[in-house]
Amino acid sequence: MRSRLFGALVIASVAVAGCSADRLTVPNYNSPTGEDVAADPGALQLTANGLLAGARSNMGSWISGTGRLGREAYSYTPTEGRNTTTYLMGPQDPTRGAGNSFWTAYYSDLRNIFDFNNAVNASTRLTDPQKEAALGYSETLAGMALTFVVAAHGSFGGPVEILENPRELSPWVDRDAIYNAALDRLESGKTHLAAGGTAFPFSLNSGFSGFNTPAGYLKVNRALAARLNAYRASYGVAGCGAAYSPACYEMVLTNISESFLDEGDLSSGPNYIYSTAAGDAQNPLSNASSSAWVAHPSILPDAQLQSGGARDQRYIDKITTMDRPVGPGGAIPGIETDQDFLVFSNPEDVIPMINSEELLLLRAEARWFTGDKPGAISDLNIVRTTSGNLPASSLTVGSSDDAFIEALLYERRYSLLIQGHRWVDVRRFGVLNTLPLDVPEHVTFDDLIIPQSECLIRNNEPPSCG
Amino acid sequence: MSRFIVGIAAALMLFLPQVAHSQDRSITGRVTIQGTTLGLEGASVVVPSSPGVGTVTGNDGRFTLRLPAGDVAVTVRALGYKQQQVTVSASQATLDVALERDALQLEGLVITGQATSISRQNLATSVAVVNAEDLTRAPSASLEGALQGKIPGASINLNSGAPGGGGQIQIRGVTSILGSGEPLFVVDGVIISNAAIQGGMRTITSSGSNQDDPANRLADIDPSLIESIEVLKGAAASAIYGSKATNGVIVIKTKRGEAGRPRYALSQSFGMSNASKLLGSRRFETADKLVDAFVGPLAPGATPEEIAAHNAAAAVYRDNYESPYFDYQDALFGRTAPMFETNFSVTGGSEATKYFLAASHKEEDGIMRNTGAMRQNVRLNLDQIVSDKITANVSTAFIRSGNDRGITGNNNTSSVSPLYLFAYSPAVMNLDTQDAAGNYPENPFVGGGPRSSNPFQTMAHVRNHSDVYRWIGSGRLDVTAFTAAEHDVILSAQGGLDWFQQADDIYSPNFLQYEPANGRLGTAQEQTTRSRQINASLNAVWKYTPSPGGFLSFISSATTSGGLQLEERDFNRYGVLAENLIPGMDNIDQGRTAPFQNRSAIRDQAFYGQEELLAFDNRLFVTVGARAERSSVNGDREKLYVYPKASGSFRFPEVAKGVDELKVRAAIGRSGNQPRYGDRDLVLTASTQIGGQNSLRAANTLGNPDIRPETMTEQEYGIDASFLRSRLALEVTYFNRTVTDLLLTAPLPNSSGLTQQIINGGELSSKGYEIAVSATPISNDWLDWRSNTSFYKVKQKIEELPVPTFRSPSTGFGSAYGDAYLTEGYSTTAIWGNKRFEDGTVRLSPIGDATPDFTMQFANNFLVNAFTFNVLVDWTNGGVRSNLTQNLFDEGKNSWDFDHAAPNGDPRPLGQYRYEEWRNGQNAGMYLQDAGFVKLREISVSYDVPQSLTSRLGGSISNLRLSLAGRNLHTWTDYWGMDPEASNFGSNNVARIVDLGQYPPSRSFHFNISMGF
Repeated sequence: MRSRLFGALVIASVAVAGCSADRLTVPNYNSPTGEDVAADPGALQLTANGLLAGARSNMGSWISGTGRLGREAYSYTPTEGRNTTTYLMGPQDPTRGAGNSFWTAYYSDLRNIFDFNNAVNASTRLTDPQKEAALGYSETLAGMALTFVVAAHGSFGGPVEILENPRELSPWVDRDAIYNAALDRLESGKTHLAAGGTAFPFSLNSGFSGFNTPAGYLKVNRALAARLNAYRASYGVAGCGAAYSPACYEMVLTNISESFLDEGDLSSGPNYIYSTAAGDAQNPLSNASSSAWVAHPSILPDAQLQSGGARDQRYIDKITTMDRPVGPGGAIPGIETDQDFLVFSNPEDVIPMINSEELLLLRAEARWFTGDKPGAISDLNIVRTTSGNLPASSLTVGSSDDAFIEALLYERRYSLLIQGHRWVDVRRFGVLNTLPLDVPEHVTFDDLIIPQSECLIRNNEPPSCG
Repeated sequence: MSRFIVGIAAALMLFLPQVAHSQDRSITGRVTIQGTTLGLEGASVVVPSSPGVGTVTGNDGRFTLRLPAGDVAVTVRALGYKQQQVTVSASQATLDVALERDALQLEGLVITGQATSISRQNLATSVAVVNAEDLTRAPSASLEGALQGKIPGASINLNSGAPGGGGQIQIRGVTSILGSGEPLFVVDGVIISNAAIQGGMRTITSSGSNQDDPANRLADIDPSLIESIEVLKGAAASAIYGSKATNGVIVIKTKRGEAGRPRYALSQSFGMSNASKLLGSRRFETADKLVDAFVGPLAPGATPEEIAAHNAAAAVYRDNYESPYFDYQDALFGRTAPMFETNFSVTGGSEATKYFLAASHKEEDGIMRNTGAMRQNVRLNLDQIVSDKITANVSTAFIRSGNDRGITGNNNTSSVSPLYLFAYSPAVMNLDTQDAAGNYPENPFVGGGPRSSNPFQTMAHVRNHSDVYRWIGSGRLDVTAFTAAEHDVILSAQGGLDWFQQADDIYSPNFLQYEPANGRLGTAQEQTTRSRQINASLNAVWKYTPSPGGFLSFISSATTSGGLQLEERDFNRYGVLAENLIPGMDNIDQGRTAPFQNRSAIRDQAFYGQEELLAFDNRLFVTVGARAERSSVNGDREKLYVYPKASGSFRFPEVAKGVDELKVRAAIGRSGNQPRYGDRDLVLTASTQIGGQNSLRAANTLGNPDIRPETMTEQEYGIDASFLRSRLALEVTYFNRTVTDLLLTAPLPNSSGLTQQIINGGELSSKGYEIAVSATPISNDWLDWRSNTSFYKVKQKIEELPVPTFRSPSTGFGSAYGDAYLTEGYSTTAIWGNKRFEDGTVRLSPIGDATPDFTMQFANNFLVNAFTFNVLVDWTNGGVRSNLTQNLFDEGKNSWDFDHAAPNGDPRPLGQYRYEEWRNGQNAGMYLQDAGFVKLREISVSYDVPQSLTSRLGGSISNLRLSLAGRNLHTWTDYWGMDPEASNFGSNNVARIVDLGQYPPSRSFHFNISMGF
């Protein structure tokens, strides 16, 4: 009897212990929770890195997508026809491709910036200047992200605000409002950086060498503002007057003067860095990442000749001719090429965020449309000489705007080759029809459509949702 | 190995106490099938008045039983047969009983609780039972295959034809969008894992997640060791399993020991399989035709430059054209693959100690080169009567499974996947050849170089291997704590452990043509998964049996039970991916490495109580019960969620002439489905490293700290009737289930910066009928014909959805090909896609439904003397499939019927017509096709060699059976693809609709010889 009682007690105590609610507390092994992160002083560095990792990842897909849309490159996936048709033939696919990634990825950046700003504002560890510096860092990236959203989706508009509650629909605004909101974010970044003391409360990677203090980083902010204001001016965004009118081009000139333009080193500027180290990202355009990434054949005949008869030095530096043409393998005809990229061929090659060469070309554009035509021609010639080893431009102060635009777009095409500019440029100057179509069925796109998932959740109300 | 375990078992028996019952005599006998001379193996012979006295018949139906003195009532029963009670007189020394086959399967016990069961006759819910004989008639790659066509109300499909299994069982429709969609599997009381672990094939094919065509771990269970399978379909039946039971419970009981001298059974199968359907590809009669197809004709009046360019582009086709057609698919998948299986078992013991020990080994080659699977099981089941109050059962199995599945399915990099490549590569040169050094030719088509591949080279060298070691064990202790005249109280403790380790090994050597398609030469991945599941319960059962004459004597019995249950499930998958390998090396330290890990741990606690009442001469059976459960995966971990149930049945005898019995039954029950591990947490996620540092970003999916289980409420009504002295029986069940508080990955506006959030909300319904008709059209001295026909139809609807239309996670490839877009008011399994309207607009519209209109099964069994014939036909009517395989072949200008005439007099060749009319996805209906089929699932004939012959072979052989069987011998279907059942994403809650170059299906033939001695 005593042993039976003992047995019953053992069973009862095992049962009680087994049923303790404490045993139901199980951590999340796979991802840190918000509380874990908030409690960790080192987390600010990691989330700051997260913002740049996002921007870097988006840069790769931006170049790859706009490179195809702008007829700078092909990406052959012979066994997935839609990867070609979506970019070259249409119709755009609302469930995949550039229209989707140039939406979701940038708003994801904006959400991360929103969370980062909240964490900074709530921090009890950071000093006020440190907070200002951190907010200046993130707001600058926010202005850049919005610039990309509107550069891709243009007239369809979109939201500009991240709401605390992600289920709420952020108001839809038009193209101009997005451009202006992007500028507001950059200006807010400028204000914060100016009050940001001498150092960030986290480190910036080697791609920001020379720009890793609030003062240095402010120059990056101003460079991005120069690019944005040039877009605003060329589109005649609300507040800029008619397209190509001087108001906003004046701002471009101011922005550039506060930036880092170095005529002696046109490659100077902040870069996205890549690495072959485990866990890091490789340059997504490198041969090591994509064997199917090749240049559009028009890049050879369109390159101007140096005085010795060689092609534009930028062509020689960035492009090579293959032994025999390649193609997607038969399923999709008409897009063979023998031109291949030298630029970005190494998996650790950096990709510029924005550089002096772009700033110089932005200044040429701004000078022309603000009346400083000799200055504009002189800027173009610096680029032609330094980068292209080409004779001076035949432009004169008497040349037409159209002639200038044609000359400018040539320089931008070869100077900023495969940096995500050409498709944007031909649209903002209204010459989308100058893009070469390989076969008659091919088309060009003015703006990228809104993703299906965004349409569905907004009852198909946004433009392009149909 | 097996001799070792026999030794252990024998040694154990020496130490186990023998039971001292007042047994003073022994009888021997034989149980046969009525109308035949066939012995019935596995029948129970028990003495109801003396618990613990009983045995199970062995080979040829023979048994030995020790009996108390005097006249004794003995009950003989077996699954699938009507039970019989006979009185053995005090002087009787032998007993022969013939059991009548029970077409309705009314008899046998079905579990109703953790420690209770009821005769099937009284059951108030529809429970399907599949017995050993039905399971093993025609061997199958895995248990799913063996169950196909045998469970009304379940849709059972294999995901591909790969050896070693991989399939899905879905009972009574969709119950969950995000939670688990598969039934719970319980083997001898152990809740086992049926995880389908993605092996890592995607590291080579870049196919994205959930497309590795893995085997699910049900494949480890050897059907030959199973005694019976009960399928608890409805919530009222499955509620005893609480929040994992929404999808039904499949209760597997393995074979157990029989008292007596050791009896041995040996079974040997030889089989072979070959492809049941391959597609072939387009013939190119001349090189010019090839050039025309892939480069296009030269325009008239072309300039010299254009001619030169045309010739340059055409060169690769002209230079490599060898012949109009090589049958690549026949070369790679066309072999006749052998298989063999050996099973050995021994059973015996005393009345007090019974053992069952079995070992099996199965090996099957796949029809694709260098693929195959193997499985070894060793099982030891012990039953011990410790004293007249205590019984103990132990069940253990050690399992090893191995698999080489090759490369199949989707492909997002160069054409690595063989079928994918065949879709695009014109079959005009011999790729299946090697030079003196053993090198395969390079495939110059589809872009050539690393953008293309030679599948023969790939399959000769690539490795996609998995190896599983598994231990499943359980124990049960029943203690009769209290016995009085009308009362019995039994305490029962049960516990089980399922532990396995799966190692997946991927290797793609540097020299393969497609390397380095991803920029990094060679790939090696080692992945280890460890899974541990423990469940334990303590139960108390009070059985009250009023004595006759009292005022409660209308009650036959009242059983009250209660108890508590614990469950733990731990899962840990980790590994290392290595790329840029040093040539010839497949160790993961020989390249650029990336480690990965994923873990989960789930803890559940539950409490339950249940009352079962049998009254009015066993005509009325009523059950009420409730289970309260809490779990670590819920937002509120301490909150108890309650799942009540109630059911009742009443049997009317002889309600009309010719109607033997009519039973009406009704049940209502509630069960749940848990959130996934981590759904409750708001997390950040590690992004890539940058500048040598880690980075963190917000997770795209927002967790929900308030998450709770989804709840299914089900009503089930049924009528069971038997007519004409059980020559005809009918079972009709109607179910109506509603799932509320659905677990959803609700879409967030992408412009919020997040993509989805885990929420509870919305409501699904699923209503349907299951009808089973069993008949014995002929039963006479020379022929016994049993026929079973079942019918199942389900209608499903999204009654309410708190969010706008969104795509179900990993079901399909979006609106261009048809996908499940969940929309309020529409069928749950509606397939939506881009549809072109007459005004030229294209809108996302419902264009099909994945759920068949109905399914029917026809099983016929003929017994002619010592011969048994069986035929099982499975009919699925309707249901659509997104045929991406055809889309690939058409895009590659390479489908076998490309040059056939297009419909409606369209001048384009058929393949071009289809591809162009698909309009780059603007007309998704083009590749969405009816996937209905009729399959000859099983056909078998067996011959029981008469005793008169076996005795001449050797005195010790007690029975000898020879059989021939075939599985999936023929499919009648209009479906264009290889198999209307194939699924690129494997198991899928909502709709398994994508056919994308899966491992081709096969048919198999088997010869089996089995004997007992």
